[in-house]
Amino acid sequence: MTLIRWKPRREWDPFAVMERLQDQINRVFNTSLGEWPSVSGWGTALPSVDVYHDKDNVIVTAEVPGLEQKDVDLSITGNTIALKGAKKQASEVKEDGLLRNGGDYQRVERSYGSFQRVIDLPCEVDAAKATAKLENGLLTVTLPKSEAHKPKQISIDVK
Amino acid sequence: MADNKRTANDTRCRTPATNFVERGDEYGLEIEMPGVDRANIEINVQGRELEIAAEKTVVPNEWRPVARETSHCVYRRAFTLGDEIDRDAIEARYGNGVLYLTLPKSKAILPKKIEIA
Repeated sequence: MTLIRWKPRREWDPFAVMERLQDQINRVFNTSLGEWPSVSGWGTALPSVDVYHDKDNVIVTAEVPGLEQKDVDLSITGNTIALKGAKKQASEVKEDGLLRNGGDYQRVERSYGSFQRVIDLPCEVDAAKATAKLENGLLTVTLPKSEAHKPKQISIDVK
Repeated sequence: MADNKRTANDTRCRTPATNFVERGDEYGLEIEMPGVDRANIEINVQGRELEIAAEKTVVPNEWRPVARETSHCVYRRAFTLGDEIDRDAIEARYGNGVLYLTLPKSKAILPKKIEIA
């Protein structure tokens, strides 16, 4: 007669399933904006970001309507660029001389608050030569690629 | 003033976020449309309809996308103006990607004091 080890069946724990689900949800919330291009980010007025590249540069654009130069902070660290700022609620347009403040806001769809986004760059850039401009509520940062990362033509010898 | 959001039929159409303000003798609209050149903004008033359309500036061809969260689009929004708005006196200003419209209330409905002669 063969002896079979006695394996008492583990009691079914009805909460285990829930706990696993909770765990998964927690993980989703903890990886804040883990998807490319943003490494991380937070804020109620989070700007949408696009990353492009051409032969010589990496270009990052961010939609920041209503913000002026003084409201935005840009910094480059290694292969990431950090965009920080705060959007305040005040209707003021210096360019065109319209200054209107206050009133009863019947409906507010625009978002305000501080924000921060860290964006991954696709390759190494020369931070010292980076330039940025803010026009029409669009921030455009041009980052020249470092020499090693520029495409180089390899000529083929035909023998 | 009623707001008609028209986005269902247009592809690549975006409804811009808008703030509605009331300031004493006028209404104000703050419409966010980043990436638009002022030359591409069209504001039309037809009867009681105020319609705004603005196409985003096209991204240069040489730029190859690595990752995009936005897309090329036309910002479109229409509003129905109430009778209390003076349609001939509507003003618009644009700066920093935001379109500011002021819609003055017509004089007829503003409170008037009547003096006894």
